[in-house]
Amino acid sequence: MARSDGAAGVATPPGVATPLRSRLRRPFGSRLADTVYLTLAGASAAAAIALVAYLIFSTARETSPVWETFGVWGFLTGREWVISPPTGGPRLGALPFIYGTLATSAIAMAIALPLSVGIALATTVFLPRPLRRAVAGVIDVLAAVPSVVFGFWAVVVLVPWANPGLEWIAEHNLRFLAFLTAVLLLATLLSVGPLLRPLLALTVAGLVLVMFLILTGALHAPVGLLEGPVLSGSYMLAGIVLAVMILPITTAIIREVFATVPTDQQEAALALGATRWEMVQHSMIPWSRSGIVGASALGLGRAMGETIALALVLGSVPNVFGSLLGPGATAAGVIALQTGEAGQLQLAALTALAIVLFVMTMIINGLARILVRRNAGTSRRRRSAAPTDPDAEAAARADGAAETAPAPALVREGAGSLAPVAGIRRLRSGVSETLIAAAVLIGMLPLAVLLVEVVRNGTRVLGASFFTEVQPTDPNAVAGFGIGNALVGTAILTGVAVAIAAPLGILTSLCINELNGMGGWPRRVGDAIGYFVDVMLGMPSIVAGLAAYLAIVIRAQQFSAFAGGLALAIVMFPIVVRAADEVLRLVPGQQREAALALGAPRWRTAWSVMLPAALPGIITGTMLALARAAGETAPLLFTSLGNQFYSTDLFEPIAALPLLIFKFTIDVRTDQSVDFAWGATLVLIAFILLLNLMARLTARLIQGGRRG
Amino acid sequence: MVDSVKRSTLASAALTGAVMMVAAASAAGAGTGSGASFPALVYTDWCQNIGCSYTSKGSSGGIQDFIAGTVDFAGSDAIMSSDQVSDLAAKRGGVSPLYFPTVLGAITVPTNTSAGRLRLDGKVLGEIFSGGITKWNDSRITRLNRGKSLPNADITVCVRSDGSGTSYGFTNYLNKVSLNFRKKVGAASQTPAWTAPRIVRGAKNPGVAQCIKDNSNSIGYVDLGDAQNAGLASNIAAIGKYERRTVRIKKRVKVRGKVVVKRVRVKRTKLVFSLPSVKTISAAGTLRSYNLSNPAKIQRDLVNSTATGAYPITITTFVLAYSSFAKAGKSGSIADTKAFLNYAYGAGQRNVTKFAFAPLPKGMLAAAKTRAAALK
Repeated sequence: MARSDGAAGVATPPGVATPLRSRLRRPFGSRLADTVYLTLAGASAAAAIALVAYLIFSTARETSPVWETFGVWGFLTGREWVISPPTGGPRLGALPFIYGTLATSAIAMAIALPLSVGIALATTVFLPRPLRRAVAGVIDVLAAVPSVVFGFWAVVVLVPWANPGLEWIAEHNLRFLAFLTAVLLLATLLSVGPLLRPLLALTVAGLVLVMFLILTGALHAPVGLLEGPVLSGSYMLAGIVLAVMILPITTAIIREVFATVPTDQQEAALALGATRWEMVQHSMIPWSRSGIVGASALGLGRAMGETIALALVLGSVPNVFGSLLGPGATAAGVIALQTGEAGQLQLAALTALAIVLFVMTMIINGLARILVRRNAGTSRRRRSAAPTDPDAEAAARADGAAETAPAPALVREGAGSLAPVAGIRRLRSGVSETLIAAAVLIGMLPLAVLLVEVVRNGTRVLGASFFTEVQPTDPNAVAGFGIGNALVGTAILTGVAVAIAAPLGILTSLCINELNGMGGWPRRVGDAIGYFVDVMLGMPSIVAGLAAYLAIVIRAQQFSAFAGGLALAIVMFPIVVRAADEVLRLVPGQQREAALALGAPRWRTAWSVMLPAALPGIITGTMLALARAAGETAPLLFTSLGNQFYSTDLFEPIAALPLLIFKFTIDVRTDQSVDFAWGATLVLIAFILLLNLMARLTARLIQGGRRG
Repeated sequence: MVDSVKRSTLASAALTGAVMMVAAASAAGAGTGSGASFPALVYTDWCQNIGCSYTSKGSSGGIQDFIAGTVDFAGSDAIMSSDQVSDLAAKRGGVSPLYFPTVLGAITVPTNTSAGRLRLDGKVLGEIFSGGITKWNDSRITRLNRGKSLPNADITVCVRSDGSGTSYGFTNYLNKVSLNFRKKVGAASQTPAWTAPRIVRGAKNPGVAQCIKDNSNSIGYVDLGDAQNAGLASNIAAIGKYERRTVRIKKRVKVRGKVVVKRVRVKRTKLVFSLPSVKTISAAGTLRSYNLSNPAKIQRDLVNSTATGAYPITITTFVLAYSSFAKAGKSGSIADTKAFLNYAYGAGQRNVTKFAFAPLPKGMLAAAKTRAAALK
């Protein structure tokens, strides 16, 4: 393990009657190195926090005209967004965007969460093994698709597809409501998982109440929520698109969570005679609840911060409490659309909106944190009790959430004899497995279609010159042009982002780790930094872009690769810290203590024990962060701007693949330009996949090397 | 494993070094432009030839970049509002903006109804976009389209979700031809406060074109090139304007106490419909007089132009320059701006028709050239 040069001075024979403290005193040089190391780690954490705090502060400072003109309450409850009215100054209010953000995210979560859980279950339990890997692989690929592609795909493929369905809902809105209630009621009766049951029960109760009110004529509004006309942009449509977008991410995380359920628990349930569904219901879901909450929070954060796709399919019409089948607008969408062109007051209002959005994501993160803590509490109790004492387990279950109540019954049933699985149990399992199969089909269909489209259309334009030539100018004559400049641009932008985010991120995670190891108040400081990183993790990327725009581009009077790289670094930093933190925590405490006990200074422990053990995880985390950054479009629109030519100058505007895709689908759109964009998408996805693959290979190589 | 850490450190150091080296080997560029999406195809084409880079982000975006000084030159179809002008003066050493027209182009009005290509005029368009007409079978529309059956359906109005010079040009036109529109929606604006009851917004011109395609019974405004690219060419409405034309009419005249019917030629004001094309756009450019110091008047004279055979919604688009680059703190940008304008007024004018634009009228071109040479 660790070489303990620093411990040479300590190795005096024991038993000498000198005070322990002075005997363990390390040489000055070693102590100095430690001080340097701790200062460096602390400084980088402080620098990162200071940077973000400064960005937030400088962003917040820009908003003062809003509060002066409209007042805080007036802005938050203003229902209008009229930039140049016939008379008087702009009338700008945040309410339509707050409502729109919540409405679209809620619809997206309502669709994506059950599908994600279903697909994750299918790929860990229900599907045959080879198929599991295939489905999981497709999901991983799709997690790499940048959002601009989803948005553009939604406009050209999904809208014509989905709108007839929405029109049906508009025509039959009351019946649709009844249908929805019936489905949910059925699902609740069949208890589709203890996780969803209380939620479903609440929803059903609400729906029944609403139906009652409508039928008695007391209420008209809810039908209005599903009223026609169905237009090309709508909340419902945007919710569906968002659901498709966040599905891969939430599914991937939930799958990982399910993978951590100990096999002995699963096998025990099966051995007791449980059906596969009962095993899922009683051993997997209770174990994974906090992980699912965490995944939902992340998905919700993504949904709330999504910009480009929503700017394309929502119709951008401020609309509070209007029909969900009519157009609306979201905070992130309006920020993306209007920031680059806004005048003083409008820019201030958009910035204020960014802060409102930031606060909203912070609240969601906070709630998720509380939920995860509470759930982690109960499941930890359960985990510790489970292997030793079955009665304690039953007790833990009973005093845990109510939804685990049937478990003891199962245990009794199964323990008595291996009674044939019959009647209602078989029905429940059958229905549940059918529902899961349906989830896989419904969830995978749009994703599979997208993937096929990308590959089929993308390969059409690929050729040697596609990788070397610069982008075309005439969208009706793209032959002979390529994405060379954008490839170089993306490489440089992500390079700058990694160069900033990786060292800062790793040092910050070490800082958190050291603080946690010290206990007492330093530990609390470490916790605070951790919370801060979580907040950053939930921060919509558009806010990072806006901050970099205000702090760098406006100051320097220059769009630049550096500003773009910084915006991407802000996106990457919290992901790197979180990943590094997680793996550093996993390094066995004994190893660390052993090194310290041998007299190794802190820096050497970190360098020779902690980091090597954690390296595969850190590299994977960094690569994943990089993959995420490589697909970002919105923050680049007003930081790195784009460039028609090859440029390698850090202080000039620079091209990037997502910007190129944006340009040839949103700015101009012809049959040829769309094909060109598909090609660029294919390359971007391949690039991101390559990063993922490299991350995994490196991790495996390092681990393999260690074993050998 | 210590080795592996060392290796990775080396690798990251090498990466950082590579980035720095690449940064040092800076590429030569002839400036950065941003702004108006209306002429973006032409500008990127010109830039390809002279080595600058143009990013289309909308006229409002161009104006903001011009004020913030973040680019070398900016494009805008819109005239800067008084707020924007004072903002510019405050941030850029008291300078004022100079406007350099570059090309002429058309804003089309595609519709999506079962009746195919429609005939519309300024008054009707003003009513539709301000909410005075909400049904396709309104008598004011059917009167212009005899022989076509228009549906009894609500009109969906597709407009821009971003600030846009195309919106400015279109509202500038509607202001000139519809008093009701001016009263309800106000002056020409990049971000008009539309008052039509059923509105869907699309991002950029292709977004509006897509909106028209996706919603039946819809109408919108899109530049000619994007309308063609979206396959809406046969849905572009013919726009009417009143022209003094010589017409032949039958007239009863008394000849030696006897009433006979005779064909005579008279001057009459007649509603003439025209479709956008390079020819009809060019026709609109034949203004009686123009003054480059008054760009608002140029835009205003171009729409609903008095010239014969002119397409009514014709606009020009400008490159913005500072009245003094030195005072604005942008001395570094003057060469790039001049280079762009030189090309625009020289070889550039010849290849605009392939993007459905028309070259500047000769007189205006000469005047603009002289003015560009005098930039300081």
